Amino acid sequence: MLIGAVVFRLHAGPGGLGRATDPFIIELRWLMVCSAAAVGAALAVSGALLQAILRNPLASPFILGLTSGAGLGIVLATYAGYLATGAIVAMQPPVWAAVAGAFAALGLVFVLSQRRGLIDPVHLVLVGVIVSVICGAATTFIQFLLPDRGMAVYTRWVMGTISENTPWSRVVLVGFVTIAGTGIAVLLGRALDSASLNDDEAASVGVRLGLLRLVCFGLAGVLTGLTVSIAGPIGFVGLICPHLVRILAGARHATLMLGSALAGAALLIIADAGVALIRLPAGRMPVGVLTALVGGPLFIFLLRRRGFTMNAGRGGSA
Amino acid sequence: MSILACDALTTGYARNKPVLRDISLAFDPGITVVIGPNGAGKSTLLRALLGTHPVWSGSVLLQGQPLHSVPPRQRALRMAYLAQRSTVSSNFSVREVIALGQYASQPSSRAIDDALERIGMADHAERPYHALSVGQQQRIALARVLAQLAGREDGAVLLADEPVAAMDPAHASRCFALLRTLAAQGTAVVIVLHDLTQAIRIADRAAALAPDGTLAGTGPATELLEPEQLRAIFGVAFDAAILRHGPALIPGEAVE
Repeated sequence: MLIGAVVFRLHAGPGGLGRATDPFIIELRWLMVCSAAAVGAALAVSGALLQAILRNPLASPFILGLTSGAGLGIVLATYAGYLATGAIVAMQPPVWAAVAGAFAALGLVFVLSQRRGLIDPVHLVLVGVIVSVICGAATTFIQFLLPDRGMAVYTRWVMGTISENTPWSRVVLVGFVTIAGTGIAVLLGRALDSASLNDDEAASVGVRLGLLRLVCFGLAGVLTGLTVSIAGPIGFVGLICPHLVRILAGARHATLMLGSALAGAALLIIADAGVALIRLPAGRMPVGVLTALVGGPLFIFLLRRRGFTMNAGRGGSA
Repeated sequence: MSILACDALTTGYARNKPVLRDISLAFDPGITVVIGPNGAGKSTLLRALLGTHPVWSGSVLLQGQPLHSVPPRQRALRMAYLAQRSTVSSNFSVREVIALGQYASQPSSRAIDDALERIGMADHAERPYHALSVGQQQRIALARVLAQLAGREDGAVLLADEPVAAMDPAHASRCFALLRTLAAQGTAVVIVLHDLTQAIRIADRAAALAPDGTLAGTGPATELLEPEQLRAIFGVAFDAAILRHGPALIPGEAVE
């Protein structure tokens, strides 16, 4: 599927499907392929980690506010840069701003969703959605403080897009961290399997839950922050991919992490090929719009078909 | 030296409101039942002994070693836990759920097959765990701890919180027989039970918690589980009888 997605994207252009002959266009399409693959894989692994460690099928970087937090971090950094220099440097905001934003949002959601030291799953999602909305509103507010009302940053950092202006160095950085992060997530597979038990039972079989949570949240925050730093907030990839992989390959977390990375990469490459083929009067549609338009209904379909649980893999009913 | 012991254990949830006060107990090979009225702190005691509930004061010792100094994986090789309601958030097969108990050790298919055989569910190995009834899931949880302690029963600890609450009488009886076997192999089995007839029939020793979280009594089960003692602990009159299959304790009316 991933290879098919890559071939599809390499042939997709504004004029329809066709083989590119211009070396510049070919390199540009490879840049988009690598960028989409890294972003899709990172978001999907991040979603799989959050769903596993929170034992919550709705957990995803988007719904828990990580992507909005990272987006806010970038817009804040852009605004700080504007205050310092008088110019808007929106194309390459610092990676740390996105990662810091993601961590701040995650920390806020984590703290606010605890009751008597326990995380209530429904409360977690509600707090995540509220934090996400607040971060979104704060982002819009800061945009309006910018002289151009934020138009330079809006499409990329608010809507989410795979940009042809991303330098290779940053794509390589995100790709490398994503591969390393996926490797760590796969290695955590057995611990995450046992963490499927309740807290007391998981601890009784030898899982260091506190450390595992720290590593999973840390990885999810870094991966999400990095993706937002090159593509902005892209929704539903981190939510949908782990569920699709559970249906196809079962619930074991080592397989789930690797499968989610491959599925996320393939899904976002296909989505990017889709927006490359859709010609709109105003230009290219942000890929985040397409993933939300397709991913939202797809997730509702999965919910109605399999129930509101992590048990999507084999038709569980309890 | 006991396999597991707690000394002057005090703990709770809200500060200045301890649930357990100054509890000192020692657990040796055999079955010890923990009894007491609702809210006396029985489940909290098990979690404190397991190391998942913080101890305010006092200590818990596993084979003479402070529990907090035993690394989690080492602890898991010597101590297993059965929750009142076992939950599994991922959709694993029955076999995969039992394998979760082997996280700290080398995975062994043989131990899993053996555990499935012992609980009488060998033909359910590949079924989805969530498709089972609650009683069957409780039996799978027992199989998980059997696989966890396989080969290390001598000197091990099993903490079980109402382990047969959802089982029918036949499977409850089979489960208690398995726990007796574990105890005979050298495991200290600590069980929280509400059914006092079951308690007196399976236990070697008993520990009773009072409503205020103090230790109301401890000793051989036949001495502690008798009507006068139980009346003082529960505020209920009990009739004791020797029936065809063993002793029975039948609660009567509440007393002042």
